[in-house]
Amino acid sequence: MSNQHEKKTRGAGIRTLDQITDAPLDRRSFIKIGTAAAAGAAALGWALSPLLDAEGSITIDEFLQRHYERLNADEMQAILRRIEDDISARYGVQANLSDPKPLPGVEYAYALNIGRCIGCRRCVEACMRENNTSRDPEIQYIRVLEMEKGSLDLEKSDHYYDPETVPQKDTYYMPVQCHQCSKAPCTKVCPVNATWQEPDGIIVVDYNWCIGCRYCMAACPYWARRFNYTTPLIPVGEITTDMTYLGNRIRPRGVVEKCTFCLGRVRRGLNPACVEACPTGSRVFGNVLDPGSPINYILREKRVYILKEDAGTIPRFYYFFDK
Amino acid sequence: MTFNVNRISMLTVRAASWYVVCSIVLLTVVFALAAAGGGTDRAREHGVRHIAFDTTPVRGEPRALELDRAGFTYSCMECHRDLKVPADRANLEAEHCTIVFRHGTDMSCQVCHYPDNRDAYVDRECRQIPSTNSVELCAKCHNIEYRDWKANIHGRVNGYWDPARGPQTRLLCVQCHDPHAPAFQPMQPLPPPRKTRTPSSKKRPPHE
Amino acid sequence: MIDVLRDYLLFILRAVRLSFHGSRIYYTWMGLLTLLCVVALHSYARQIATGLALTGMTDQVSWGVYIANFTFVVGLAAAAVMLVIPAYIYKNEDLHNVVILGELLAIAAIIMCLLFVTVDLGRPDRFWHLMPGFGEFNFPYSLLAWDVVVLWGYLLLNMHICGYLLYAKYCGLEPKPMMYLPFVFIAIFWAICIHTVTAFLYVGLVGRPFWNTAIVAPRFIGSAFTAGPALMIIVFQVIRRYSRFHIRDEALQMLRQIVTVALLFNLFLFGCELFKEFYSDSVHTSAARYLLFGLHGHAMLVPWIWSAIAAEVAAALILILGARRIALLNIACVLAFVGIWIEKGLGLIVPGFLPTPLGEIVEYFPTLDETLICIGVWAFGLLLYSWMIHLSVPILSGDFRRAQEKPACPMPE
Repeated sequence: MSNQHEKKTRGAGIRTLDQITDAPLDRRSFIKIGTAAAAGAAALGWALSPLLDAEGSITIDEFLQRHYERLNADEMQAILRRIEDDISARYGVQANLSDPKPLPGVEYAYALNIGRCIGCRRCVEACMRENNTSRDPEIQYIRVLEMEKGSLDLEKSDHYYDPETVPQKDTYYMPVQCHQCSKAPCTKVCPVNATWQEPDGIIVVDYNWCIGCRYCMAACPYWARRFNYTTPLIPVGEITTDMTYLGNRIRPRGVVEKCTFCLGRVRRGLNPACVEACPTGSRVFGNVLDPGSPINYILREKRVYILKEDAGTIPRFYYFFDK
Repeated sequence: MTFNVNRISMLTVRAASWYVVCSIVLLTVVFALAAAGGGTDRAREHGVRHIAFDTTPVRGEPRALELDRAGFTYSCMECHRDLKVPADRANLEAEHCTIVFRHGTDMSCQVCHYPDNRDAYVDRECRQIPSTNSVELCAKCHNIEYRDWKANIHGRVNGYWDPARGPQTRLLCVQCHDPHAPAFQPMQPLPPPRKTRTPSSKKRPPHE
Repeated sequence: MIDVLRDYLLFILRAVRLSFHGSRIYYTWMGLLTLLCVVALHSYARQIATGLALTGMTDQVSWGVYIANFTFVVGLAAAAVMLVIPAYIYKNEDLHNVVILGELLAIAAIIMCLLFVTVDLGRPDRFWHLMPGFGEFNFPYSLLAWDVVVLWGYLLLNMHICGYLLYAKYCGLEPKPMMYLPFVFIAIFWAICIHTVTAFLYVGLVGRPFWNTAIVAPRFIGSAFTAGPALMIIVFQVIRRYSRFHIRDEALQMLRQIVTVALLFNLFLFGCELFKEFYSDSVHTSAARYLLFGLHGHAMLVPWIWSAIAAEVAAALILILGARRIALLNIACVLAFVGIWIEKGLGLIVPGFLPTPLGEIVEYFPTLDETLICIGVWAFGLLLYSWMIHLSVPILSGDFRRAQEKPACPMPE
């Protein structure tokens, strides 16, 4: 069976396909291949050159680090020291990193008195300071909504109100942050289990495991999650140096973060930063399993409701008003 | 379908060559413009305002029942030992004119201040409440807030949510509420959120 | 055994050399695509260096053109099965010889999908976290985990089918039905799966009322089976013109019928959705309002979506009123393809995010680097597909085959 003639190239002479694929490598083709390869390598080098300016690099240890729930205590300590070194190198502060475990017999709940909130946003900035969130681009876990009186319609709310004084007439204020839902849609959708609910109710993110796909951000009905689109910028003088692995440590870029009820503080019995800052005392925090806690008092005595209850996420965050 | 391969190929090759050259030139121009206009402006650092995490109550520490005048400090009874209770109990005459009184309706000074001992307040049975126990005075009428305050849900409680692990600091009524004009005073809000600005989006119009 | 391996390696080597030889048109086309890929790689390197801040995405609109293109291209991959069904189930002889071309398109499309997802990740260096067995795989709860499984499965299925059939043809042997037919039928079922799973990514999110409807999945299938065959009609004409591969007009007409039915189905479902949104007119219709009419002064998507609707309706009219003429058919295909690309791309993703769950609107616009990366991924897909066609056509026409004087290479069982 003879090979068929095939006009495959012009100008360089007519060759059959077999002659193309089986031709011996002579000097001319070697030079051609070499030139093409060199040009290709140069183009590739140009294309990849921005990587030289990349902020930060990844060590082998960091690359191979396993999921939080698979680490033993020694590995965790090594990781904490490594993160302290990274933060020291990048931000110039000596951080003190720890990994406090959930307290037994404790499940947190949060109540917010929308009858008393005046929308002053001190909680927002206290949270930024405590949680070392990026200032530029600005990440704020708490978003305060100025709502029209008589309506729960979130589309009528104003996020960017900036009057001389608050509260304004015929408005009420509703701050929203992560509700640490009991049936959270965000933990359901994460493909790598980088976010989960801890036994004390706080939903955490393992910032060293998150791949940055942002599916959890799409899933959250409360717009509670934020993404580090670039490396966080925090003024050195404002860094809170007591950091926790799952909470307020300075995050790398490309991972999701959110309110963690100030995990490092509350697991030592302290109030979250937003509760500490609120001048009107509209924020109440406590252990819902303790019948004598303020949070249970509110659930018993006050008119309590849940935002977007029809979403079925069963939040731990309640809004109430007094009278 | 037959067609003149040579002519079509030649035209195609010529057109394609022009296309490639123009693409390269265009991309070069585009990149040059992008590089010129871009660049990150990260220099602006947004500091968190100190007031955000300052836990000082809005009215500070409760003041004693005293009057400061011309460098001296007087206790209330130093004047009121001799001054009688005024007939027009609602109006203040010579002293205390700077007090702005906006506390309920049909109220006068003696609703709260014991007439014969100005170092004390008065309760429902017209007995004295020592000035160190101002909360009991407010509780006389505002019993719902008092009950909530005792349960730690009215007004801020600083410190530990778990009293077993550390102290909790509760405020007095007067540390947030001026007793003569108790409505919580409006404040200046901290600034609204800024957009997530990206380096290449600097030229986009600002939101609203 | 060594002979088999050596023959296969020789096939690879010869194929590599054949890849770099072609007509001037081939060089120009591949050169242009390579240039676009290199430019995109540069932009992607910048994105890795500074982070996704290089894109136009924000916390409010956290998915953009990357995921929009991903969603659209998954549909193209699924639609390759549209050729397989008539060819194998209805025994349509016209389509038999073009099935491989369709499946090669599926391979290229799936690789484009995987690339679109990769460029969207904030931490691509952590890709191994997604590998079952090595990382933590949230299967079966996370739809993204399902998507990883079905996309890779579909890729491997099609790579096996095409690889086996082409290598068999190269060796001059008759392919054994057991080695490919079961996989072909699995691929038919699997194609519907990949696109339904991708649709379910969106449908299951209770916080996004624009997506949280059952009609999204049928709309995905309808639009995929319009855009995919439309693309194939155009691509097959290109292959027909620039190579020796024979594709009869009857094959194109069969594809035309598929496009027509699927497009009408897609328009019907779109009409259903419009009725539901605007007749009930509750607060939950805000996203649809934003898309079609603008909301609170924000109307960036309005011209896009109306152009898409006009394009699809025009395409439908052309197809119904008889597009036997190839030129008209091509116009209809281009209109349908572009219309669906808009409607299923940004026209699906952005209104899902706006208004945000807290009611605000922060409009999204892709940046230059983001656009270049998207163009680069498309260019890479076309590059891959053109390369595979460049190799497959000579194999299928018998020009590129194993030398006959050697003993026949035994096929692996």
